[in-house]
Amino acid sequence: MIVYKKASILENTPVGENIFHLSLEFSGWALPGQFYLLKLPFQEPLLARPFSVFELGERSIEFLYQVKGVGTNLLSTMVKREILTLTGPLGNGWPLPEPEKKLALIGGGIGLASLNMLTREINSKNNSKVDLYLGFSKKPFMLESFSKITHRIVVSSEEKNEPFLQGKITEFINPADYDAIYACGPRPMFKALRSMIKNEGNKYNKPIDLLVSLEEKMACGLGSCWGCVVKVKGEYKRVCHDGPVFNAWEVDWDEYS
Amino acid sequence: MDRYLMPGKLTGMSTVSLEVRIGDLFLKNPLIAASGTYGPDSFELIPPSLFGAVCTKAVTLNPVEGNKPPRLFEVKGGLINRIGLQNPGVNQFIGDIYPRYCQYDTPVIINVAGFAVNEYLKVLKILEENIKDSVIYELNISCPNVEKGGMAIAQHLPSLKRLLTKAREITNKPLWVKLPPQGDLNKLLKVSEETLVEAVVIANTYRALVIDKETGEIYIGGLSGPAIKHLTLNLVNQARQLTPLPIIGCGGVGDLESLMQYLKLGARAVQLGTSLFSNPDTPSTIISELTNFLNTKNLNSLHDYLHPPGSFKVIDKREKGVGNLQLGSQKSIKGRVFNARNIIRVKEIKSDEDS
Repeated sequence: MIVYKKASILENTPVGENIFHLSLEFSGWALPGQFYLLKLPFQEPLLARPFSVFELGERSIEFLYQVKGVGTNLLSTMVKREILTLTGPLGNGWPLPEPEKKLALIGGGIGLASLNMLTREINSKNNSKVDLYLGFSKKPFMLESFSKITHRIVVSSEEKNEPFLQGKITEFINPADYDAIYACGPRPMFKALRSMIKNEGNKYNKPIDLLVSLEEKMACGLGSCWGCVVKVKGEYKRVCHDGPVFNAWEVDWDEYS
Repeated sequence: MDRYLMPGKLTGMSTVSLEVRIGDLFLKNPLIAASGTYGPDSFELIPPSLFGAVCTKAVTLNPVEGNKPPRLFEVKGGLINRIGLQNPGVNQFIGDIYPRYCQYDTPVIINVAGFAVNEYLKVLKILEENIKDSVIYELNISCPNVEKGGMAIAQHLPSLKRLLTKAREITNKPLWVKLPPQGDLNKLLKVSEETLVEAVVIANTYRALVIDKETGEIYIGGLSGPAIKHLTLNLVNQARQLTPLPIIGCGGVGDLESLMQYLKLGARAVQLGTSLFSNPDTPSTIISELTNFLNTKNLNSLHDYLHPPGSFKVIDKREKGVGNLQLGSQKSIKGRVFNARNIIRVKEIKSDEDS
């Protein structure tokens, strides 16, 4: 059930360069990969913005955000007990992989927020083998949180950041090792992944599934306004309602990038 | 009797009546969900029962792909959208979308759009043949986001006249026209009156330009939200003086104050759009605030507030528009709202008594 509810800030702290960890007092629910719209208690920005759920506690919900515009700038100055309004959970979320499948999860920058609950969910319920790849342009963040839920983790940074690998995360993954790859991150990362995987099966000659979580500007977040569309199999689909997770082989990337 | 034409039956739980009348149609409250901002996927969070009526997204004859993204730009005080009428076409609307509205008692307004006059008319015919419920049609002649049809029809008065005349021949159901905010309001209203539409919606979004910060690309779209409220209030005020047709205000309504401003200027109801995005609680907040407001004034109805006893003004039979069902033809007697036909009779009886 979708709710629209007020929530007070428990914690809003920087965890990286322009990256904040926001924790709100909220009893809610979400599937891995779903998102909430967060509305600030100010006239501007007028619209709420979508944020992937990073973690869900019994009485809390957590998000990660990158300070980019007016809204996230304001949000970064908000303190404990200030109130935000949440709408959600929204979107389809990540499908759980079939048991025994070998899966790579790839998070680029702030895109990793979408993968935290998924990693935990798969490790606790599912027999799939999951490798987590996290790529950063600058200093890595939130690794402690991920290291609690998985040991199979590869981290890279485009800047030199010992002891992490240096370069784009896509340079360190061998797609042929996997049955499926789930990715959330910037558009160039999707492009790189597609060209690496394109027309190739994995080492068992099976096609590799590539699922991506996409981002678009949204208005209603519910699927009614058709503002946040992306072309999938020749027609415009709503990122908020039909996505944000799409089969990458069905997305019209010429139009998206 | 038609479920929408029963005065006094749509007041719900509240002891205060928020009922409004548009033509001979009674809505349980003056809030209408605006086209393109609300639909079946919103019902879970914003139930149709909150509104006096709900308007569908535009329906066209054939499926419309819509504009290539980006489609949304938030600007100071508003939102510029350029969706481009994306919809699956009238047949899929009838098969898949309309049935989802039917599960609720709230009156449905079907927004009809097209790229040529004949397309609008074909859509209306198909809807008439397939939907037997008493829906309302809102002819969208004001979409700023398509090159043909939409606003172009409003700019060519003979086309508009043909569209409205023929539409009237196709259906007896209420026909509303959603006018563009830019254009010769007087002429648009005259054509609307002459062609016997039941009400005019004033207005749609304002054609506006935005430059994409990231790419430098220029985009044209429709501006909505708080930024346009005072512009549209001005249009409603002008229209009120130009036409006896019932007016539905649409532009920047997001709170009780803005609703009351529109009603005070003579609008019969308002449409909510962008405010549903920024706050899905907007309709329920306005309804409860309005109810409280009337309670504190010791009034039984919104009608009593807008038309205090004694202020009733009889407008004699008019040749144009929908005849007797026009301005001031509503009167509250012992807390009940009579429709115009009854009022005429009341007036006749009173005249007999006087003589």
